[in-house]
Amino acid sequence: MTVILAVDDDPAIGHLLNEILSAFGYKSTTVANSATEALRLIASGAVSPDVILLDIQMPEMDGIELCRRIRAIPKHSKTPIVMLTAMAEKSYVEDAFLAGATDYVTKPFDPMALVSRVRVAAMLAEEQKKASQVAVSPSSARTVEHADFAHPFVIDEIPGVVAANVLCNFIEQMRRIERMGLVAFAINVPQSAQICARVTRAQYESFVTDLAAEIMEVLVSARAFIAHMGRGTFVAVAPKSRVPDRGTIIDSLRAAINDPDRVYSDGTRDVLDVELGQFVSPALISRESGAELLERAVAKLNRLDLATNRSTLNVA
Amino acid sequence: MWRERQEARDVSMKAQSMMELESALKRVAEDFRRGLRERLEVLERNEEALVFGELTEEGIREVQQHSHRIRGLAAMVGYPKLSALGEKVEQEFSDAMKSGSSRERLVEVLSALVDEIQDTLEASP
Repeated sequence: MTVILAVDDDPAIGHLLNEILSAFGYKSTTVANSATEALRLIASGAVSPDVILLDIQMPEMDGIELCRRIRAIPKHSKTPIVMLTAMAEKSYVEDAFLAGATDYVTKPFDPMALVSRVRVAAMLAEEQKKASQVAVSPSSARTVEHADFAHPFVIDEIPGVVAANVLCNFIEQMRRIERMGLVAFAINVPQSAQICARVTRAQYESFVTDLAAEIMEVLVSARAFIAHMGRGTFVAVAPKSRVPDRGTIIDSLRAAINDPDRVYSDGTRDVLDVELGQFVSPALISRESGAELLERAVAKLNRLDLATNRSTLNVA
Repeated sequence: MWRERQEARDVSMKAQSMMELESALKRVAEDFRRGLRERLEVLERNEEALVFGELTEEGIREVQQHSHRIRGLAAMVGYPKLSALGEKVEQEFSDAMKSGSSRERLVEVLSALVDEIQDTLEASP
């Protein structure tokens, strides 16, 4: 049974959420009327939520700060958090995702749409539970395994680096506010495949996490969000007006990821290259989803590979 | 055969959920209308204070809080106009706190919200 914690300072909204969720089978919903009450419920173990719904605008501590504090609790560093708010301004959406929100629903909301978002969040929570069980199982601990090169993994604790599904949600929200203001592009490090093949899973994940941190350093002033897509590829999404030109991005990324101080324990180091896909914007006429935009950004990178006769995304 | 039975069960569960949702929304709407009387009193008191130039910061906060809550819930329980007016009041009073707005404008939007609440309550069963 999915345990849900809903936090809203308006008891009427709390009541509404409880009623809607209950009607669709989510019978274990606890409502807290303040951030303090929510933190107390979590800290005391009275509620151990699989999915958290947060209002943003609350007195004393707002939902964005509450989201940040929940993320700081190790047990809930990955628990899906859906922001549920009347605040549709761009800065609120950005702040919510930077604080670690998984999704963002604007009030007034359609009950069916809310239930479908909660369902997605509950599925994500279930997948995370299964993944953590696999990670601690004795059979997986005995063998030194390599990372699955094609499979993206979630990179934690770097502001602006989010899971691909969160980036899709971010795109959807920003499109509602600022229709043509976004641009997406893929970034690939071609040497990733060879590195993945020769190191352990933990080492490869550490390598990709370092890459993510360097990419964010370069793109932080563009207010970008990035997601790891697997295969040594990231997709970045940022407001068009803030993104530097392609040449600047490539030069800055090459310099950042080839820091001469970064060497392996045996003193060697890899010289890394960077490939940048064409910039793509959300299609004007068709109702293109966030996922479709990300796919298009990655496809532009693939086309770049064909044009230059280099294989990047499927290097054996 | 199993699949057909499963599909029939899914349809039946969905229909049941929709019926439960409908009655849940009715209950929430009733609660909302009951709460509106108290909100009306608070907003009318602050409207009067605003007209006479006696609105305090505490009064502004009350108006913001109540209009915010009306905005959030009204549209979901069948009162989109009330929600839109709540949003307007919340926005105008928020702007007034930051950069100042004309008193006439604040009176205008607050009165419109108060009138709409009165109409809603009069039309309520």
